[in-house]
Amino acid sequence: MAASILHRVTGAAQYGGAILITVWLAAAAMGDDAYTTVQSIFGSPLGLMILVGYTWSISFHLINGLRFLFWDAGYGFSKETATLTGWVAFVGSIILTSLIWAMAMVMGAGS
Amino acid sequence: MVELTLPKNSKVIKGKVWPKPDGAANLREYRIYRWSPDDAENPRLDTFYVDVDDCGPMILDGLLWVKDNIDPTLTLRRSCREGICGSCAMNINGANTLACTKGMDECGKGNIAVHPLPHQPVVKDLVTDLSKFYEQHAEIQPFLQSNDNPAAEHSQTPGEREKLDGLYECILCASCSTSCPSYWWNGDKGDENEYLGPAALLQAYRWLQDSRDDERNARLDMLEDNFKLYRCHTIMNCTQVCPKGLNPAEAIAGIKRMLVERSR
Amino acid sequence: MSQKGTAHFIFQRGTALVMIPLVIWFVIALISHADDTRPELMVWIAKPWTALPLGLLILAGFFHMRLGIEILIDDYIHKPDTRGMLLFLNTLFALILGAVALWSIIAITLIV
Repeated sequence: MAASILHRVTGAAQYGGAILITVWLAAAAMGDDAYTTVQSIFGSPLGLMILVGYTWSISFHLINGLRFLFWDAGYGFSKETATLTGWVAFVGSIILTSLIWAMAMVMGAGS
Repeated sequence: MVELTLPKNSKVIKGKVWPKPDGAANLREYRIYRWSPDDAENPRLDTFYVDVDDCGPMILDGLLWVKDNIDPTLTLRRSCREGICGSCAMNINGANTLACTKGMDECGKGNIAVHPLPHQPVVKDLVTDLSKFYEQHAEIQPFLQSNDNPAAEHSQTPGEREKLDGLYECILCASCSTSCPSYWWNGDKGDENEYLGPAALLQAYRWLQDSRDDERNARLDMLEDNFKLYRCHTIMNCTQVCPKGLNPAEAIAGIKRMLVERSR
Repeated sequence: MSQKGTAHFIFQRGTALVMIPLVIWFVIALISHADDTRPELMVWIAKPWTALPLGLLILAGFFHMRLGIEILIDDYIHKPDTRGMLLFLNTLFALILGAVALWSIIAITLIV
């Protein structure tokens, strides 16, 4: 139940994510000034927080989306399985987000 | 727009605390939703103390004890008291179920909150108006439509009959549909933008899966718009609450699969 | 009106499936290129094996997003006029943003 509304919220949040990706791509295409500005905004503390939040949002939506695809194929409908996979999606998304950002920091990312 | 708060005259206010029974060793506190169409009051939550040694172990037993011993105006639907008629479906401690099959021992140690089925028009106290729910069931044509005219019965192999298991046992208690957020927001539109709800859809699947039925395509056509079936987003409250252990979510997914397969 | 529900359902699941490998690829690639200067980033994006999957991701992603929000609007907005307008705005948003993103990829490919 909670996973379901979270799936909707993280889905709606992709409106914001779509803007982030588009702005970043457009800045890269438009020129050095535009790009540097965008990079510095993304790299600011608030920007980084938003990026981490966005990473979690898309991780959860993806893992929970897999749950949906299994349901559509007919698997995982028992009460117990559904509850378990819901927890897997939630915990998995946190682990995935941590992994992604750990990797990013290890590779010395400035953005 | 979805309403985010209840209208002023629907807000549940604090109700009466009814006296404890004399000489009762074991009491259980019930908080029961009350509303009468005969007065102009808001709905309220009354507190009753049930002597559990003086009544059976189920929530329904407790409610009927209150009606018999404390307040005879408490209004509820009930009949078989064994989980087969579906009359006593209500919201107990936040989850829809049958009062007659829910033991008081399954409700923790604290007070037991009893409310009518969610997002339904209240007739009185715990009785809701289920006419829409029944209309939606009728809409899916819950009867055999066969082109055969056999001299005796319509034949069916055991394998074919097995496909109806988990579907025919539905007692139409409405626990599932009234636990579904999509049904709350879209179940009572009254126009072509209406979601039928898990119970009606489970029954639709029951007839779609019946090998003796010849109207599969017409049945699927009827469900194919954006609302009747496709407001289901696999939220899965229905399966979580079904007091008969059925799986409406799985049945609905089955219908969606049938629609995809026939569109190939 | 009748085929609409199933068509939406198929497209939603189809774009989801396509996006699983694409998103995974994109996230990993993005991390390894996070330290790029602008010229380095542009060289990478301009390569066909970056531009093409990225373009596909944008197309599938924005289509999926538009369908998802359409479902949300259908769920919560019941007044026909408001609903019609919001559905239109939703499509517009996806189209405009998608166009800008695709243009950016093409522009980078041409500039480099």
